[in-house]
Amino acid sequence: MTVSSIAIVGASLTGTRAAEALRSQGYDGAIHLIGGESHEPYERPPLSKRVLLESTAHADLALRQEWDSLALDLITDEHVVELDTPGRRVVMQSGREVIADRVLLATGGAARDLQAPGERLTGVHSVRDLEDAHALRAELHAAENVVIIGNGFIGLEVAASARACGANVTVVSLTRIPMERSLGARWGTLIGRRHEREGVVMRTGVGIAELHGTSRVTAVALDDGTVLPADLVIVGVGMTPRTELAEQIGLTVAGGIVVDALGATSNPAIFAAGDVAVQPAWRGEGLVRYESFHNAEQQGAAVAAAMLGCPAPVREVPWFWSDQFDMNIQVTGEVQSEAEIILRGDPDSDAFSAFHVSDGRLVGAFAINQGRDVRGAMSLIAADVAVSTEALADPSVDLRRLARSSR
Amino acid sequence: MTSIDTDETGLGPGWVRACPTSDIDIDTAFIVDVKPPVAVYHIEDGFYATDDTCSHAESSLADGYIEEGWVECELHYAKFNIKTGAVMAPPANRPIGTYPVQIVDDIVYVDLSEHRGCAIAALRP
Ligand SMILES: Cc1cc2nc3c(=O)[nH]c(=O)nc-3n(C[C@H](O)[C@H](O)[C@H](O)COP(=O)(O)OP(=O)(O)OC[C@H]3O[C@@H](n4cnc5c(N)ncnc54)[C@H](O)[C@@H]3O)c2cc1C
Ligand code: FES
Repeated sequence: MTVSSIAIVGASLTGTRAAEALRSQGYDGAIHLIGGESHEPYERPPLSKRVLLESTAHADLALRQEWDSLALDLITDEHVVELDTPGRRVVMQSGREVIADRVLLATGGAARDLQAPGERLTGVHSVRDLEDAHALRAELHAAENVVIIGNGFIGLEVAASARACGANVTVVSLTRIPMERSLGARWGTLIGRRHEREGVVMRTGVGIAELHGTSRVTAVALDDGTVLPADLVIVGVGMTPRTELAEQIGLTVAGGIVVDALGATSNPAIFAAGDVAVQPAWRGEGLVRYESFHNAEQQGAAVAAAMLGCPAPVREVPWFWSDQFDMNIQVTGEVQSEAEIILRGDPDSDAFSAFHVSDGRLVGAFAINQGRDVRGAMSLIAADVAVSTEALADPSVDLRRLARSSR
Repeated sequence: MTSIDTDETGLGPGWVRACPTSDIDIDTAFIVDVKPPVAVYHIEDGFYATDDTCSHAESSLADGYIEEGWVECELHYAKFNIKTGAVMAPPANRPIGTYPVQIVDDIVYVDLSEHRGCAIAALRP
């Protein structure tokens, strides 16, 4: 079947990258990029950082400066509510519809609810989109006691922003180790200590009983009986992938829309990618939902090729960054295992990197303010060559050049 | 501190001395300490200058990774063409400015008055 019309549901990073890749692969049919937000696509990472501290216009965050060259039908402020697969119809809330031979679900996720009494009080926020960030910013600068629920990367980034605004900040979490899912135990623990050094109070291994207040939140009651005064609460307990459309048409959903490495679902006309998708892990067994800028870009490009039946681009090693206080934190590959760790620099200093080695091969890297090393590590991991521990430990060795010379 | 009003170099107003050519190895860069800072690169076919500040979130591009005529920011890996300032990879969404360069007696000079391309200098005073 020739593909002459493609609908992309979700106009954010994955959808935009997919549209760009469709064009760069030479596809000249129709592209309907449909998004539920009122803005043109923008980048989310600054929402928990820069946008909370400075006034930031949408244009600063725009994913593209111009759209004309993509020649697509960009529809904003419209929710897709139905996929009629036999009729190839993509139906929007307003009743408008488009016909599509291929549909990409790039619907991302919504901030997960806390599910504790009081979570609808004013002064209780989450951060997923630009409106959320603007609403939080409006209150953050005057806040005295800020309680953050959840010690994942968004919770910690908001904690750093709140400290920068001068508030007293407490992070409460059931999980004991901060950012453990992305950083593993060792580096998660180190980041937690950095937060304490910056004056953040970390309360781990404790749940939320309820939020107090009549119209506005006044305190957070923990399930160990502690009551923390709070004039601002940020809930950062993860995201729920938006899988409604996939469920409606009977696709396999297991903590996200299940896809293969190229974004194909169980229906040959429907694809999914980005934060909403669960895909084979980059290495080893199992399905993973990667929630990162890099994955959205990569998978957006890969799924475009798959929709057109073109060869897929090489899958890159997973990479993630988070900016907190004066730390640019980066991680690539697998850093969960502690088998063999080679340090480059002092982990108590402002800048260092660490390499995780298994059977003489580099499998992962973590760094604070040493992005270059992580970038080099990505190339070395991809090359899958034996690496000497001396080279890894030696700051004068440029790992990217090393990877290049070993090709 | 260099001033762009006077003609200190004899090359004309706007030209400032960056450094000796031998100070910049191939595929590395030197930061000219003006406001906003300028990066002077030594790449295979010569010396080029751009704004040093990444148009994404203010990291120094001279600290980035340089190869085949592009520089990659080490913070979030945006990539720019060193000769044109064009964005080659996100998350940056704006080009960086570029400047004319001249070599006189093995010294690299940059013309700060000839800021070409998208002016991040104007956007970020
Ligand atoms: C606050 C914050 C900070 C982050 N910081 C970092 C970071 O520092 N580093 C990093 O690597 N990653 C970071 N990320 C993650 C990164 O931003 C995401 O991985 C990326 O945005 C995923 O892109 P996506 O397009 O798949 O999904 P989203 O960006 O979630 O976009 C999905 C879009 O689909 C729309 N949509 C959903 N359902 C429908 C429907 N039925 N009809 C129409 N439209 C619909 C939504 O409105 C939304 O616009 C951060 C994310 C957040 C929220
Ligand atoms: S600051 Fe350069 S890519 Fe973000």
